[in-house]
Amino acid sequence: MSTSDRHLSNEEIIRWVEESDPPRDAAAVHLDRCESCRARVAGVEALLSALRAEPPAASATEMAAQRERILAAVRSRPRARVRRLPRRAVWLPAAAAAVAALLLWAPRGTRSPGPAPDAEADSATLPVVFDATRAAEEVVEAADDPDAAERLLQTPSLDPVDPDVAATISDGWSETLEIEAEFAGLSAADREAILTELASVNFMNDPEE
Amino acid sequence: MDDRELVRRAQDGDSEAYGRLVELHQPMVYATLAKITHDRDLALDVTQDAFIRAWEELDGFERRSAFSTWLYRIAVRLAYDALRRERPREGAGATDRLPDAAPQPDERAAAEDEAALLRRRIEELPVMQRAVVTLRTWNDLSYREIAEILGTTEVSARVSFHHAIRRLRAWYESEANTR
Repeated sequence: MSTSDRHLSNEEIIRWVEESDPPRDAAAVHLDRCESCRARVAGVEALLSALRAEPPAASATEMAAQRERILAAVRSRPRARVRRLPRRAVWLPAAAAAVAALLLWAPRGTRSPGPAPDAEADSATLPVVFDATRAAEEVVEAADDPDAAERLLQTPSLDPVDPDVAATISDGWSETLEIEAEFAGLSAADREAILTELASVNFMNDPEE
Repeated sequence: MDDRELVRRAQDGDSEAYGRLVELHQPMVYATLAKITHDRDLALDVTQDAFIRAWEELDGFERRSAFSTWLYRIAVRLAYDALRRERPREGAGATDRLPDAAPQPDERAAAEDEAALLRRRIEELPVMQRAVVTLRTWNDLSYREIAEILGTTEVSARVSFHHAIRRLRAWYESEANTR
């Protein structure tokens, strides 16, 4: 059944209403001849229009008074160099170190997820799945986003496949944190060298190949 | 002077530049919060807190997104926290809620117009859906911008919006049928 023969779904109705210039497609053909769907479109249009109604504005006096209060607070409160999490310069090495540690720690036979050439062999030799792509993405994200960096440190980027593996991951993660601390203690030149090397790592390489 | 330059100056400690940013964005931030919270006083409180918080955290704004997006993110999160904490305010008059005094129960059916009905229904939506609906319909933001503000994905923002509209329509229609 083509779109023009059936009633439009709610999603199609909303999409239709949201489009400023809806295409002349099957939905349009259907709407031309379906009163029921046209009524639904009208209903959603009315709803969106009601949702766009202006909220009662605060008075100009209230807004001006509020601006004064904000500015008084701003002037009396020199901007603290608030830093909930370290900035990029600190996080990039830390995040990279975490991933490097995972790569080093990952047990033999661990490989990136993906189509397995030999599923039976994999099930016998892969105690954990190291999501290298995700880890790599997290490093990149962590470099620009302190929140992502926090998530990285809380997420080992390893997917447990059974409870024993989960325990192993937990141990491995402690090791990761130790390595990370060690990394943080290195000289800037050493950290830079490691980062350069890390940047050339192809995370998708199977360590066994 | 555009936002970018004002932000740069404010980050250098220029409180006058920040004052200009407040002036430029305060009306829209307040209106957005009023739409999300449906509580005039709460919206005013959160607007003020948001600008002060934004000043305190301005160093953390790296200018990768628009200042307004970053500011909305702070404001919406504060509103979200406030709504979660919110309980009926002691002594708050009916005028505290937007936009009109609630009629007495025996008058309600007669007095309630469609707009009031809609407001009540919106208040029953989860806060996240309320925020998505407001940012989409009132602020006219893209799903991508909404996702950035709410710290979610574009798909999730779109799905939340569709769910909210569907729920509102269902309520709306069932109320209309019973009247």
